[in-house]
Amino acid sequence: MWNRRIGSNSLVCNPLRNGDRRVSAVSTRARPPSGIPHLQPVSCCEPIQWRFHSSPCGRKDSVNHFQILAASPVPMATPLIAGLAVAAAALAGRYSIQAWNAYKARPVVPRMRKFYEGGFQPTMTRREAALILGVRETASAEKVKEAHKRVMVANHPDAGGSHYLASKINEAKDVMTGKTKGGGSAF
Amino acid sequence: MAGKLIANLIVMGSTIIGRAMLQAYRKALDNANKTGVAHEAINNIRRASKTMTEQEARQILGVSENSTWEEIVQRYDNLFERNGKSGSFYLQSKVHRAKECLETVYQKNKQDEPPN
Repeated sequence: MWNRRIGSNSLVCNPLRNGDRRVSAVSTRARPPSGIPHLQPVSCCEPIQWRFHSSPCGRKDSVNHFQILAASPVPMATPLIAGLAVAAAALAGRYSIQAWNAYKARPVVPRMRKFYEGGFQPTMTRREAALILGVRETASAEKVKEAHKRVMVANHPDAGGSHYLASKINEAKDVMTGKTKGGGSAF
Repeated sequence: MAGKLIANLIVMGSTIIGRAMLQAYRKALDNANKTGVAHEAINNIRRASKTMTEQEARQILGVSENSTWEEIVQRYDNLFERNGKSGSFYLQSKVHRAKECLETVYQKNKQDEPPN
């Protein structure tokens, strides 16, 4: 065997150069020289073929997965969700109707301020006179007269008012206009 | 020298402040007398309960002792409404308090009637 190989090399070396010797040696050892151009394209094509094979497989797999994901929960969840939605809508409607009825039936409570405590002062002061007439303590005589007329219309004894209130209103007017003193000094 | 000056300044300042406070106090007393706040303070101290008497309540509503509760309510509604329109809030308050006072009295009377 060794002899045969050496013999073949010597036969080829004669026509070729030193560099060609190496190339030729490799080719001769692996396969016949005629197969060289065929080997290279095959090695190049193999990964390309692999890619082509893998990519459509991946696409198909992904499509199948999406279909499965989309299809599987639909028959299970849709009726349940629909039922819950209908129930919630019904409850909301019922509650809204009850709320509307309660709102309509609510009693009308007017706003009330804090009323002044107790009765009138034993001796009327300027402050109380101003409160009775609904004016400021520093109001002018004209405003006091207008207020007196307005308040007296509401409390006139001839029109169903009270004599006591009418007398209080008149006294307040006198106090505000300075016709009568509001009493002596307190201290 | 500096200590004496500072002491003099302090004495003068305190004197001026004292005079100013005295004048302010007197002015406050005068204002209280004029506006009647002093009277109100004394009255509030004298009668701490600050409630309306039955007699005054009847006078305010313009009813007598022989009036029935229905008449009182009618008078109250009338006066309250009219004072609300063109009267003053103070008079409205008095009318309201008068009704409350008489309501208490009539409730007591109703409670006392059955055993009598």
